[in-house]
Amino acid sequence: MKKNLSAVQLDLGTAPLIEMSGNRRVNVEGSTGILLYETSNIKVSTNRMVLSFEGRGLSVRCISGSCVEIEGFITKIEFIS
Amino acid sequence: MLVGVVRWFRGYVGFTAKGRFPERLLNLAAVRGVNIADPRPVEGGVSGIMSVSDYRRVRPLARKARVRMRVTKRRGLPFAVRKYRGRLGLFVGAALGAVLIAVLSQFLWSYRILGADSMSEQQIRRVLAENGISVGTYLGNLDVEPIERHILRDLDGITWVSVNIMGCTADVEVRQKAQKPEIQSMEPCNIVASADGVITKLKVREGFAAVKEGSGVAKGELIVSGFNPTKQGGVRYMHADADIYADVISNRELKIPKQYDYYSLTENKIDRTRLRFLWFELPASLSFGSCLYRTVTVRDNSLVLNGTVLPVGTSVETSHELEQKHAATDKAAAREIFRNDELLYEAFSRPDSRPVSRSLTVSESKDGFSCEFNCVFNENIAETAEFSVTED
Repeated sequence: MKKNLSAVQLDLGTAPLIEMSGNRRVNVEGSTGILLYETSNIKVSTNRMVLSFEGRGLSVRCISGSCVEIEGFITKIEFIS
Repeated sequence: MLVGVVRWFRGYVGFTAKGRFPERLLNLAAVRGVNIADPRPVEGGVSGIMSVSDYRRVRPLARKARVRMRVTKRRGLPFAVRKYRGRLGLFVGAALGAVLIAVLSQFLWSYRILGADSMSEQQIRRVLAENGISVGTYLGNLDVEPIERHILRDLDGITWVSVNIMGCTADVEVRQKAQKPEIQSMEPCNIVASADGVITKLKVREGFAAVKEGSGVAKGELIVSGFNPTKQGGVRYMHADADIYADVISNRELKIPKQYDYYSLTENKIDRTRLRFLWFELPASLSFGSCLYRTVTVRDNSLVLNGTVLPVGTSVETSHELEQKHAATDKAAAREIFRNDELLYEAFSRPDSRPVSRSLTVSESKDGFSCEFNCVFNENIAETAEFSVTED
């Protein structure tokens, strides 16, 4: 039981933290880079998967070494692993 | 807003990065700590803005990402300075302007006096100047609280003063003392005559009249008594109150010389303009004329900008020439002068009296003219005379 808990904690530690404000703004913590940057589709790479945001008028508002903030009208989020 | 200001001072460039991996440029820049603001996707790449120093750092990263960078705009202070590099005077002027503002902001430019409705503003200004508040005072030396205390001490007629310094201007608010109301004494008293005369009307509100209409009274004579004998044989004292109108004779004499000198304004005047700047004054006009006798008026004009009185202005001193004149008076002119003097005497010295008759007798002597005024005025001669009561 103790072993299983530590496995869950390990997963949560490496998983990206996604914070959304409606479908207009999303903040991804734990990103490792942007793979695709278009106004209709932004793909963000993380440790475990690739996040794909589709929508209209998408733009990267802020980018740092481990954090990406995306703004726009988001219609679809896809987790590609 | 603040970020934009800082960015403008540091200088920034707008760029487009087009090539094979524009996203990689964003990732590399983020990892290296290069801040790309407002990154937007464009056809075949990305665009954004970054500071000038970051742009130099990001060029090797662009090669790594295989994109070609192109500057689309240059903004900010470094570029503005470079643009006006050849115009040294512009920078010197700006620097001098900044120094001037910094220096001038240490001094008091102007001040207003508020709340002095019936007091002399000139007197308040003099007291303020004695206590260190005048145009051009160094604000660093201004300690308001002791100044307020000294003003309260030096200036009669005010109960409260506040000196509010706002930047380079000051508002001096004063509150005048409330006038002490006249308290009517209710002590027992009599009414006596304040002058010799013949009583024409008695209007007794309290007390008992000791005389009748038509009686002649001498100065100090009892007219209305404040003693009221009671039926039990005692006395009740009261505050006598009455209006006593009487015809009073007024005699006075006035003399004027036959010949006299006086000063009269001529058409000649000399204007001297001075430029004022804080406490400095510089002559701004050439006027070499002088007058033996003169009267001087000074008119100050200050520059006002957006309701703020600036410490810059002009001071125009006008000297009006006076001419000494010699005049002689004949009997008719003297009579007119005496007549006017009598009218002024009635208007200002006896405003509450009604003239019943007046007679002017003008006589001429070697030196001048003299006039005897014999007038009768009908006026209130009631005067209260308090008395003390001691009970055994």
